[in-house]
Amino acid sequence: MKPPAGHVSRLMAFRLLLHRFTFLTLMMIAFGLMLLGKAETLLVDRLRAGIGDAFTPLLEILSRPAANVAILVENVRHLVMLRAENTRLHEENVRLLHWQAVARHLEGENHALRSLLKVVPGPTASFISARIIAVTDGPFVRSALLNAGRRDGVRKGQAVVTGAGLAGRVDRVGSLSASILLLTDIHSRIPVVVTPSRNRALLIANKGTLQLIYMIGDGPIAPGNRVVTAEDAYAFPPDIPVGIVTHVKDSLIEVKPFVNTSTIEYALLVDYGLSGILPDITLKREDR
Amino acid sequence: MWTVIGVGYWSIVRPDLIRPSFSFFTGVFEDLLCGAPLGLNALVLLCVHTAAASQKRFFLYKSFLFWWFIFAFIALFAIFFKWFLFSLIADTVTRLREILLSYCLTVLIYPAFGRLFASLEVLLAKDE
Repeated sequence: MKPPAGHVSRLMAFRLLLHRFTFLTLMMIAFGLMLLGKAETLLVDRLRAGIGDAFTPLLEILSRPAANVAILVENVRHLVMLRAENTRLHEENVRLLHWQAVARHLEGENHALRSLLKVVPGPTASFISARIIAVTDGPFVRSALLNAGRRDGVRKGQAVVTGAGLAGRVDRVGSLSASILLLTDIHSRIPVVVTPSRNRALLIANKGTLQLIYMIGDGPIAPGNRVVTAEDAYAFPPDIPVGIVTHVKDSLIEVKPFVNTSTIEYALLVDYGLSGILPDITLKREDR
Repeated sequence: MWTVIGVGYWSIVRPDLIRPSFSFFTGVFEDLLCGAPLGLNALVLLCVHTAAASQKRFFLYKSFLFWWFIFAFIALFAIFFKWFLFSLIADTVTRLREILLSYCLTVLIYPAFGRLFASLEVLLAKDE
């Protein structure tokens, strides 16, 4: 049975209207999503974790050839710079041998002093190794996706380190994957200590550089000072290397990170059982 | 910016396949997967789609160099629009040098993707 002609024309007119206003409607939805992202962070985080979980197997497969290409490029680069690298390594070896002797001496002294003072040892850390399967390293977002999630023991707030130092912290956790907020992301805030002055500060990423703000302490800061994590607010385990001070001018202190966040392949998640980063409320609800 | 290349190309060549809603949801998916503010890429891709599709008649039957040149304009608009929106949402201003670097990279890799898409377009036309 055919629908009445008037009904069809009304339907057509509605479709035409819908088509004409598609752009406007979608634009309004996009602005709505922006507001939702600001207001309902938990819901959005759960969505992100779900998407991350769903695409982890695919990204894992895709990341392998990309990693192989990166290794090949790196090998060629090393071959080109072999002679200069060899000289640098010789010099570094001499320097490290000196520091090894100093470290052994200090280790012995530290052990003796600890036993004299009956120092209670700090909490022991547990580690989870994971592969980085996707890195977003653009001007707007700097994050990475790991192929380990809640089922592997990953928790929100765990420090993410590589052999060189701190790379970031776990930001969102799905059951199969987890997202890292890299320390170069503009939303990253890391409590740090500058050595040797022991001044405390907050490390932030601003306009493409890492900077120290809210400095506490009057000790002098100079280029070459090391920056390590602080245990403030129980967010991070102490003394994880973060970077080195490169530039000091008035209140502007710039830091160069030890880790090149765009080339990480594997990462270690350090768990000291700290509770500084707010846990997911949803997880708490699930636990009840 | 990879998605800008795809949406910019296909919304001109095959608007019957790439609808505004497709560009919008591609952006939402990118936002969710990459950790960008939700709605940011959705809005940018939607605007790229509309800008490119509205100029379809102007684009067709022109040389590849012309396409490349026009794409450079669309990408410039896209990245500055994104920068503006991101600065509003995140309440911070991203360094202009990084924005320009990302833009140059996107424009430079366009020919490779353009050629690939052109071959794909021929294959699709044959199938139909």
